[in-house]
Amino acid sequence: MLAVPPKNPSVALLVTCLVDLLRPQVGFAAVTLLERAGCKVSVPESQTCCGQPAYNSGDRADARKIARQVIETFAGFDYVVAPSGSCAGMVRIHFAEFFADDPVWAAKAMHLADRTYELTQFLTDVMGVAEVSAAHPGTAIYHDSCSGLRELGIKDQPRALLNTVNGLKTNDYSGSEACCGFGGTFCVKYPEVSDRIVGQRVTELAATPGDLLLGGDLGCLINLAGKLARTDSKLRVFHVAEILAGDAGPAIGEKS
Amino acid sequence: MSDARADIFARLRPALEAAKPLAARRAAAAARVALPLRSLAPARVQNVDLVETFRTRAHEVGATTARVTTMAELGGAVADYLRERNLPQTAKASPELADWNLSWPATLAVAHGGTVGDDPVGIAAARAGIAETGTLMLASGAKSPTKLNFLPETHIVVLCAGRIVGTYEQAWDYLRKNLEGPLLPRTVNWITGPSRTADIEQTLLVGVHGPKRIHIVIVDEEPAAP
Amino acid sequence: MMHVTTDFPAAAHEALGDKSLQAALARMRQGFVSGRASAVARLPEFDAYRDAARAIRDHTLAHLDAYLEIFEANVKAAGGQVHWCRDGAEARETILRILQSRGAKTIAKGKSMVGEEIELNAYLEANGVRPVETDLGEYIIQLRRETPSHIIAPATHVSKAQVADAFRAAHTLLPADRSLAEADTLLAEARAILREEFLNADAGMTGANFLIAETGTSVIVTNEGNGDLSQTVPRTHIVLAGIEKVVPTLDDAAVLLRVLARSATGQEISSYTTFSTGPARKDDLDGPGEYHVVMLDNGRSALLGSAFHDMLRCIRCGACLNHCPVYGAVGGHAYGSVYPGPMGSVLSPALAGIAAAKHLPHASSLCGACEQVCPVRIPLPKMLRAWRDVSFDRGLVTLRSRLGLAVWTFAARRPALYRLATALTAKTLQKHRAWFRLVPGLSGWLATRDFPASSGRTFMAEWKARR
Repeated sequence: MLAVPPKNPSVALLVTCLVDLLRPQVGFAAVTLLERAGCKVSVPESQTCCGQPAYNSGDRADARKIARQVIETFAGFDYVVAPSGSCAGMVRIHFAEFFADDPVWAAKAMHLADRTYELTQFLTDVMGVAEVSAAHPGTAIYHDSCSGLRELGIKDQPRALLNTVNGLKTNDYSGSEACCGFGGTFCVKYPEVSDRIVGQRVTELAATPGDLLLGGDLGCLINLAGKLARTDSKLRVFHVAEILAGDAGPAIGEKS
Repeated sequence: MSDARADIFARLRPALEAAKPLAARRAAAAARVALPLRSLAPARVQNVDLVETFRTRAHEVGATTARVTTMAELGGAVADYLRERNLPQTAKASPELADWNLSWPATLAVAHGGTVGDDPVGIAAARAGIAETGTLMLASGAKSPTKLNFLPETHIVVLCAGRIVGTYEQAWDYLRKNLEGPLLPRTVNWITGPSRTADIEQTLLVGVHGPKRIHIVIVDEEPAAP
Repeated sequence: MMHVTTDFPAAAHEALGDKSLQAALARMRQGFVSGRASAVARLPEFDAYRDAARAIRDHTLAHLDAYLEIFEANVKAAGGQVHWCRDGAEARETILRILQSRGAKTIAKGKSMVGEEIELNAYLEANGVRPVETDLGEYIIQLRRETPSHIIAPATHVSKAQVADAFRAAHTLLPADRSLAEADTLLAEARAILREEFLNADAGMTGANFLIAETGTSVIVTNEGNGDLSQTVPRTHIVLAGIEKVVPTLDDAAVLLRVLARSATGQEISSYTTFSTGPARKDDLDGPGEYHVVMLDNGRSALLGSAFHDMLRCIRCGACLNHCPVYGAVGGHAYGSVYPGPMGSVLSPALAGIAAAKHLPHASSLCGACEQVCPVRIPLPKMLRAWRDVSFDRGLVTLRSRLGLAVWTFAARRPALYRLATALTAKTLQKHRAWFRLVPGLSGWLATRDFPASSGRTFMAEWKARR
C-alpha cells in the first residue's frame, strides 16, 4: 500500500468478466464513484479475466499464465480497483502463490497485490470517502460475498457508504454472511446443490423486511436475483456501486 | 510388530528431519514435557470469587449446588437434597469419605465402597473444582472407585471450597502436587453437569448412560486428617 | 486404505430429494451454528486460544516422532502396551488378537472415528466378536447398519420415528406395543439395554481425542458417559488412535479442550472429559486390568511435510461440517466417506486416494466458512484447491470440464479474441437467451433460476464507444 495516497491517483478499473458481459452499468457506476473521489480512471483494453476459473479447477499452469497477463496489463497504475471482492481477492491474496519459485514474478505479483482493492474498500479505506452523493428510498438488505468478507475483511465499508445515501436504510439478514451457492464453477458443476443453497438464502430473505438486495459481487447477485425471480419476492437486486453512484436503472433481471 | 513401529518412524523422519535434526527434536520435546508451556488464564476467573464463579458455571450446565460451612453440616445437606427431590435415602459413598469422620443423619443409609450398578445414589469427593467451566475433577484410587461416578442415577459430589481453582492448568498443578507416586491416577474424570445427549433430532436429553442429576455440596473446611 | 464410494453427484441428488434428511439438516444447521456463536461470544479470549491451539498442534507435528517416543515410554511406564499399526488391516488384526487371546466375545465401544475409518465392526463380527456401540448416535446407526453422517453427531440424519423403528426391530424382547413416540422414552430404553451391555462386555474400546506424551495418557470427551463405562467396567481397555493425536502436555490438552467443545456443539466443555493412564493400579477399587493403545498410521505419515500437512492439526470438532453450505444441503452420507464435509474432502483423498475421492475436493463452493470457524485455523479451501490441482494433473477431471476450461483459457489469453467472443455472447444473451439452455451446466441453473438478460453490449465495447 502506498503510505499516503496521491490526491488524484491513477486507477485502473479491473472490470471483471461478469460485469463486462452481463451488467456494464456496474462498471460505469464504479468509474463514476472513482472519478468523484478524485481518481483518474483508465480501463486497460487488454484485460480479460483474473483467472479464477482455471485456478479453482486445478489448472495451475493456465492460471499462472493468466496471472502474468493480468500483472502486465495492470502495471504502471497507482491502484487497481475491481467492483468485486472475488476478483480483487484473487489478485491480492492468491497471485503470489503462483510464483513461489520465481522471485522476479513474485515481486511483481506482490507489487500488484499491494495496490489492488475491491471498490468499496478502496473508496473508504484508501481514498477516505465518507459519504456519497446519491439518493434512493427504502431499505437495503446487504449480502456479504464470501471472498470479500473472508479474504479481504470487507463488512463495514459498503454499509458505511450506503448509510449516507439519502433516504436509504441498510439491514442485514440471517444469511448475510452465508454462501449464496454461486461459487463460480461450483454452480455449473453442482447446479442442484447450488440451487438448494440459494434457496435457503431466499427463504431467509423472505423473512427480512427490505426493498433492495445489494452486494458487491455480480456472481452472487445474479444467482440470488435469478432465484428470487422464481418467487413472489418484491426485492430488487443491484450491485452496491449502482446505488452508491446514484444511477440505479432497471434492477438485475428487470427489463430495460 | 516391531517392524511396523520402525516403518512408521521411518516414514515420519524424512519430513521432520528437513526442519530439525532428531537430537534437537528430542531435546525440544523433552524440555517441553519437563516444563509445560502455560497459556493465559481466561479473564472470567481472574479477580473473582472462585467459589461463586464455580457455582454459576455449574448451574449453567444443569448441576445443582449447596454450600455449607463445616463438615458436620455435610450429611444434613445431602439428606436435604435427596428428600427435597423425593429420591431414595440410600447411598453408596466413596471409601475415602469414611476417613472424613462425617456424621450422616439417621434417615440416610450410607454404605462405603464401590458399586456394581445397583446403588441409586453415589457420593464421591472431588480432588478439585475448576471455576472456569464449573468442572469437577475426580480421580480413581484405592479409596475412590470410578464406577461410582457413572452408574448411580444421582451423583452427589463433595467439594472442599479451598480446592476450587480458576483454570484447568491450575487443576493439573494441584493434582501434580498431591500425587502419591510418579504416575497420574488410572482415571482422572472432569465432570461438568449431568450425562446428556442431543443425538435424537438435536433435542437435549439428560441422563443417557451416566447420572441423570449431579449435586455438588461445597464445604468451606477441609476434612480432618485421618 | 480407507474406503470411499465415488459417486458424489448421484448421492447428492438423492440427498436433496430426501425430505426426512432435509428436515434433519435444517435442525442441525440451526443448532450447531448458533451454539458455537454464543459459546465464542462468552469467551473473549477465544481467538487467542485458537492461535495457541494451532501453535500446539504445529509444534507437536514438527516434533512428532519425538513426542510419540515419549508417549510410548510413558504408557509402558504406567503398565500399558502400545501397538503400532501401519494400516487399517494391521490395526484390525491387532485388536482382534488382543480380544481373542482374552477370550472376549463382546466389546463395548465408545465412539471412535478411527474405528469407522478402518471398518472395525464388520471385521470383528466376521471373526466372532460382537461389537456394541454405546454412544447413542453410534448405537442408532449400528442398528441401522449405516455409517455415521457427521463426525460428532453420527445419527444426525435419523429422525425420531426412524430411531423408534430401529429400536423396535432390534429390541425384540420388549413388548411390541410399547410407545416409542417420545425422545425420552427412546432414551430410557437405550439406557436400559446398553447398561446391560456395559456390565457384561468382555472388553471395552474407545478412541482418543488426544494422547498426552508427558504422562502416557489417552483423553476422551463425551457427553453421555458411555466412553467412561466402556473403558471402566470391562477388564480390558483398548484405545484406538491416529498417530497425529499426540500433544506434549496436560497443559496443552487444556488449551485444546477450551476450543474443542465450543467449536463442536457450542458447549463450554463436554460433560465428561476423561484422562486414562495405564491399567488400574494394584489397590484400585475398579478399572480395567489391561490398557492397550493401538496407534494407527493408515496414510497419515505421508501428509507430514506435504501440501496437506496442516490437515494433521485437525481435532475433529466438526465445526467445518456444521458451517459448510454444501454439507448443510446434502448431509454426510453423500460424501461417501466416514469423514464428510470440508475436513473430509481434504482428508479422504489422502487416506483413500484421489482417484477414489476425486469428486470431494470439488464438492465445495470455496466460501471459506470452514476456515473461518476452524479452531486450529486449517486453511481448508487452500487444501481443497491443492487436491483440485492434483486431480487436474492426473487427468481425473471430466472431459467436459477440461474442454470447457480449455476453450475459456484459450480466449482469456488472447484479449482481441476475447473481446470478439464476449461481444458475440452479449448479443446472444440479449436476443437468443433460449440457446443457453443448450449449454451444459447452464441448463441446470435455468431449471430453477432465471439468468439475467444482457444489454447486448459488453462494458468494454460501451466504454470504447463513450470515451
